[in-house]
Amino acid sequence: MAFLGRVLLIAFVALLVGAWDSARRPVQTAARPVAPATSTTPASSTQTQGQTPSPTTETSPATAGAATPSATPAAATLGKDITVAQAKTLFDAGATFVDARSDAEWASGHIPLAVHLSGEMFSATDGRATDVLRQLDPGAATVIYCGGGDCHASEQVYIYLQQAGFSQLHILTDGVPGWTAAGLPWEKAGTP
Amino acid sequence: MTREAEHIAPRGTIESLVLLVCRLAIAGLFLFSAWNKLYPAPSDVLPSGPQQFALAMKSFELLPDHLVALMAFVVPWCEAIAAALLLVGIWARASAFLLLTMLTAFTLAVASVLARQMNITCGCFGNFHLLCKGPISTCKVIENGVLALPLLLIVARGSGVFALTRRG
Repeated sequence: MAFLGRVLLIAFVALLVGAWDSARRPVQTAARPVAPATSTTPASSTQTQGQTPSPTTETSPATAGAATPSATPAAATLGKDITVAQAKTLFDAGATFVDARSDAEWASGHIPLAVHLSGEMFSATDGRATDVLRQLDPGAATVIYCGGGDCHASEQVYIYLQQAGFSQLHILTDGVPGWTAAGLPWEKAGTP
Repeated sequence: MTREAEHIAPRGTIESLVLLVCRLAIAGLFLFSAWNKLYPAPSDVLPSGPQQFALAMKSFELLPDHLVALMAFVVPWCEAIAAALLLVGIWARASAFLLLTMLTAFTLAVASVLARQMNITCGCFGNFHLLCKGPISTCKVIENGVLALPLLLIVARGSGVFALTRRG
C-alpha cells in the first residue's frame, strides 16, 4: 500500500504543478477563426522563393504567382474553411498556398507555387520550418491544404501559423482530392 | 530492514551498479524529454515546447482539447519529477513504476495510431528523437519496449545500494 501511495503522490504533485503551469502559459489546441482584415495588404510576394515550378509542371496557370493587391480583400470575406472554388479565386489572386502533407506526399506532387510546411517540419530540429516561415508574409492571404476529408494536418499547421502571427489563414477543406477532381493546376514530382 | 525492503534489496555490488546505470540512463532520458516538452522553442517564429507537444498529442485524436491542454504540461512534469527522484534514488521503485505506466500508455496510444493507419509524428521527445525518425511506426513500439526493460528491472529490484534510500 505504501508503494502505491508513493506512486499516487508523485502523480498528484505532477498534476498540481502541471495544472499551475498550464494556467500560467496556456496552449492553443483549436484553430481560432480568421480575424477580419482591416487594411489592404498585397499577397505574399515572397511565396515563390525557392519554389519555382519544375519543368515537369503538368499545367501552368497563367495567373499563378501573379500577386495582386486584390488577394487580401477577397480573403477577408472568407471564413476559416473554404471551398475549392474559393481557393481557386485566391490562387488566381496570388495567395500563398501551404502544403501540410508529409514529405513523401509533397514530393509526389502539389499545387503550383505552394510551399511545403508540415507539422512534422515544425517538430524537427533541422530548421526547415523556420526557413519557410521567414520566406512567408504573415499578412498575406494563406491557404493551407492536406489530403482532405479526415486529414488534420491542415488544422495543425493552421494553429502553428496563427502562433507565428499569420492573420489571413484559410483551410481548403476538400484538400488535394477536391482540388485535383476539379481539374485545377497541379504540379507533379520534381520540385524538392 | 523491513520485509518489503529485504524482498527488493539487491544481492551485490554488481547488481547495484547495474541498477545505478539503469537509473541514471532512464532519469537522464526522461529529464531530457521533459525539458524539450516544457522549454520554449529557440526561435521567435516557432511555437513553444508545450504548444508543440499539445499539437502532437492532439493529432493522436484520443483526448478532448481541454485535456490535451492540461496533459501537455502534466505529462512532462510527471516525467521530470519521477526522473529526478530516480536520479537521486528516492522512491525509485515508485518513480520507475509511474514512468513504466506512462510508457505503457504512450505505447497503447502509438498502437492505436498504427491501427488507424494515421500518418503523424510522435512528439515524444519534443523536437528530438531516439531511434525512430519520421511518422509513427512499429519502430516506436520497439523503442518503448527497450525503454521499459530498465524500468522493469528497477521496479523489480529497487534502487540498489547507490541511492539516498532503498525504500521503494
